[in-house]
Amino acid sequence: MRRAQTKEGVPRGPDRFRRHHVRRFRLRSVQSKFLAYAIPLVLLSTLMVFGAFEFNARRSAQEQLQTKLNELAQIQSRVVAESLWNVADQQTKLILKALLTDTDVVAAAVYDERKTLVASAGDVEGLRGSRYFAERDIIYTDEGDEIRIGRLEIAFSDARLKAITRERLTLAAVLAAILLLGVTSAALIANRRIIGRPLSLLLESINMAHRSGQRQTVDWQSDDEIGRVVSAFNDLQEQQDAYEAELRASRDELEVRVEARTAELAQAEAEALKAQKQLTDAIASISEGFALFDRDDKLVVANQRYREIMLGDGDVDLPVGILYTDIVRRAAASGRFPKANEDEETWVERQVLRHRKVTEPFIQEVLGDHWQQISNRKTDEGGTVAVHSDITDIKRISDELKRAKDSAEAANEAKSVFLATMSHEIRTPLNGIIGMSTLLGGTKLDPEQRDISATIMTAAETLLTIINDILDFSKVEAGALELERLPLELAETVESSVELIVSKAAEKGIELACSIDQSVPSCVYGDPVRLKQILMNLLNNAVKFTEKGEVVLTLSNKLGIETLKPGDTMLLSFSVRDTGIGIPPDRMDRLFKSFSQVDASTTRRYGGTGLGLVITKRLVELMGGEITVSSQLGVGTTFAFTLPFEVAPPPDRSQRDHSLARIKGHRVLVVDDNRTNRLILTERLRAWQLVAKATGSPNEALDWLAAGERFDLCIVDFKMPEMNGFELTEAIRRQLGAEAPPVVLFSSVSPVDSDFRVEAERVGFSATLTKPAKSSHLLNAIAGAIVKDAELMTPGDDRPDLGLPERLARLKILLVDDNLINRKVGAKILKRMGVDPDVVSSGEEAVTSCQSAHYDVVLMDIEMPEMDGLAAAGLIRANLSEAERPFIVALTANAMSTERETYLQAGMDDYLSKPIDVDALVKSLGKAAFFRGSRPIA
Amino acid sequence: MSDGRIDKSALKRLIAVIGGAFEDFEELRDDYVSGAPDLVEALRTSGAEADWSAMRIAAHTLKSNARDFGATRLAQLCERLEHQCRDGSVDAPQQAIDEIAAEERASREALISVSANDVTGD
Ligand SMILES: Nc1ncnc2c1ncn2[C@@H]1O[C@H](COP(=O)(O)OP(=O)(O)OP(=O)(O)O)[C@@H](O)[C@H]1O
Ligand SMILES: [Mg+2]
Repeated sequence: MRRAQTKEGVPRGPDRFRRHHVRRFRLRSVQSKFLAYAIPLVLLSTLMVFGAFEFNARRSAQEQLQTKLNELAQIQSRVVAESLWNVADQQTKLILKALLTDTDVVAAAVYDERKTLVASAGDVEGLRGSRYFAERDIIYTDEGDEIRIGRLEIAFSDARLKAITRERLTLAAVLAAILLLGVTSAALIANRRIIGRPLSLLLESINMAHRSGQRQTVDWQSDDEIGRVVSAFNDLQEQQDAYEAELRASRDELEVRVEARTAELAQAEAEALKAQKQLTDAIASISEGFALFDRDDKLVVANQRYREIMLGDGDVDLPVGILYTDIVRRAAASGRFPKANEDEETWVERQVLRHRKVTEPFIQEVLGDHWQQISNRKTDEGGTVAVHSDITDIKRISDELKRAKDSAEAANEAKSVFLATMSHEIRTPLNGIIGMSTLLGGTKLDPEQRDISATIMTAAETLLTIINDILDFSKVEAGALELERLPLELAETVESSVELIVSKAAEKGIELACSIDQSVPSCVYGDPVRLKQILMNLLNNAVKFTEKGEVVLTLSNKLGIETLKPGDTMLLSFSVRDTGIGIPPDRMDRLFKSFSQVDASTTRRYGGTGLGLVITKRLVELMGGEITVSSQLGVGTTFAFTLPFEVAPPPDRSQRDHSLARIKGHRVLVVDDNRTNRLILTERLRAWQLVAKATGSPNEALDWLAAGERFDLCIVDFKMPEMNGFELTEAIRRQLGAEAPPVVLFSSVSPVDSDFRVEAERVGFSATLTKPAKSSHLLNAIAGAIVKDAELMTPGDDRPDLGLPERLARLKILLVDDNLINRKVGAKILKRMGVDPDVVSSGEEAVTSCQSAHYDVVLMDIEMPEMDGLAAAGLIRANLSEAERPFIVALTANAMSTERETYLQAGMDDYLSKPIDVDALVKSLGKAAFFRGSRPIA
Repeated sequence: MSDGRIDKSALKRLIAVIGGAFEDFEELRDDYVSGAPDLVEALRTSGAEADWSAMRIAAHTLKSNARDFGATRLAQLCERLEHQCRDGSVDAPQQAIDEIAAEERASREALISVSANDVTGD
């Protein structure tokens, strides 16, 4: 009940609270309600308690009074008996009177047995009507006999009883009043202390919150429901506070942010304004005309320069929003654009079109030989930015440049054309000169005439080399030189390069040597033609600029790694060393410059164009290397370069291995006065597992033989100080007779020297080799000499450039040409040389012929219908084994030396240009014979 | 006598190359004289069929022979045509062939009139 009241008193919301608040004091209070219930209850319960008590008290007082009455009557009856018996009435009266002293006794009377009143006291009348009335018989005992002698009557009054009752009731009323007072005040106090106080505190807090918005914690603690309500209320308040604080904080934060944002905006606006200002200034200040149009081609902004360019100095009114078309019209009307003056309508249309479509920047002429470049760009919004730059100066320069470039290109083209023409136009007569002088050399001439014809020949050959050089040079310069990647047999390439200058060196009496280190792989991938060209240039120079001594080519493995397998990359070091005139240190830097020679007198004395080294250097660089030179004036020069190569699988060496196995362990005597050669030779022999003993002195060699040393083979040099190779050979034969070992002769003597040739044939050698000999030739020669049953090689077979047609007569030749006249000319030339060729007229026939018969040489025309020369050569090679394959010479009427390489790379062994040059043919056949000769001995 | 169409040095060279006998030269010349018109004819047919490869071969052959017999101009004309055929850039073949035909006829006549004296002298 109390709880319900409390509940009702707690506000649940401001409205409710307000309503209750009004009624709270006017109508009802918790206290009055409480008292309204409590007081009647207290009164009722007091009444009941006192009622019960009164009832009890009255009954026991009445009983007490009755008992006292009865006892008094009993006792008095006896007392009276004596006096009555004695009839002493006075006495009896006295006794009764004495009775009245008891306040309770109202009246007493004694009667005799006749019921006559004897004595009385008090109000006898009302005796019998009294509420408390007792009567007893008066018995007299006479000797044991009891005799009834009268009667005693006594009446008591209830006055005392009533007084006591009144007293008691008064007391009860007082007690009830005190009780009521206590209960009421206790209730009031409790109510105040337990409920009222906290409630009013709550209310106060609520009112305060309502009034001032300030929440106060209600300071009330108790463990009852009120306490819990208060603490819940406090919690609620706290939450409310926290919530409000949060709200406030976020509101504050928001405010701060809004402030910051506002500041930022203001700053940004200021910056934008500034930027805009700067932009406007910039646009105004640039020297280019600048204009921006919106998507509808209306002007947004344009600088002064734009106005000037479009409209000239006078008309400067160009309002924002004006259409581009209008501007162009005004521009056309201004007469500042020559093209517009010609046809205004078209011009305007073209401008508008270009403006709308946004093309590449274009150039426009402005009056007074001025030019402007106009670039239109689309903006992201679909507008157009137009930039007009004055390019009068640039245009002038570029026009000049273009003219210069055109003329340079024309000149360059003229140069190329000139070079190509020259190559062709000069080569043809040159070939004529060479051919004619060869023929001339074959006729009867006196010494002077022979000398002249020889000079013509050399001059022409030199000229041919120069032309080839120039062609190569122009190709290198143009960057048009491409390298091939082919299997490159190092020994073969290096040795054949050396071989080509053998005769030159021999003429000057210079020793030539070639040393290939054992760790050099046999085959790598590279461009053999170009490598040969490099080596040839260096070797030619070395021989050219050396008067006496030697020229040594060495080839070594830069890193010295010996176990190389195919696919490995390795560095090969090449060097060409001579003992010639040397190069002065201050001239070194000019070496690799085109058309530069160390000094002007070089040309006079040695000839040449000064292109060789330039080409060489470029080629070396193209192959990934660098060329260096070291030289000492008067002592000699060394050119060195290192190139990277990928190791290729070694070529088929089974024949070679077979030969090696057969010569292994034999003893060889080497006699050569040149130390370098001796060393190189012995090293090579040792590598082939021969036992070599070498000396520079023929006499010492003879001494060794005299001392009983025996050899399976002698290798002797021709030119030696004590005696020459012929003399030594004859001396050996004289000394040993039939025991004399076979002799291989080494010579640097020009092979065309017929005296030498005749003498050599007379003496008889197992083989004669030109120095330095190719490894394969040397090996063949040694094998042929040592292995007795092998066919002895005739000296001529090993000499590549004999130049003597009768020597070649044994070759079987197939001539292939679709052109009847060429066939006839070719056949006639060959017949004159003593060769009787087979002739066919197509590639197909050539292939079948090669299969049915064996040919040493095929002279193959390239340009043929159906199957051309290259295809036919390919088939012939494919059909035949290595040993059966002919030497195939390409014949073509194309002059470029590039084609030559193409043919060589396409598998041709050699190349001749038409019209056929007899000398070149002879040389080529010489090569072919050589090629046959160097084949393994069957 | 020739009108300069024929390069005598080429003829001399040819004669020298084949052994120096004028009879041998005459034999070859007969071949040329009878073969050259056929080659021109071959040029025409291949031109009509636009068979550039056949035209190239014919031009090549005629070029080679003309060069042997000193018909320098003819050789040049043929070479140009040959290159055009090879590069696939033949323009106006008819005109080129006409030119070649005329030159061939003229040089052929010049060649026929060449006598031993013309080429064996100095
Ligand atoms: N081994 C050398 N000894 C001395 N001088 C040399 C040697 N090699 C080259 N030279 C000098 O360098 C110059 C340039 O050489 P390069 O090979 O480029 O031209 P060249 O031999 O004179 O003419 P070309 O090689 O074009 O016929 C030569 O003229 C020579 O003076
Ligand atoms: Mg040189």
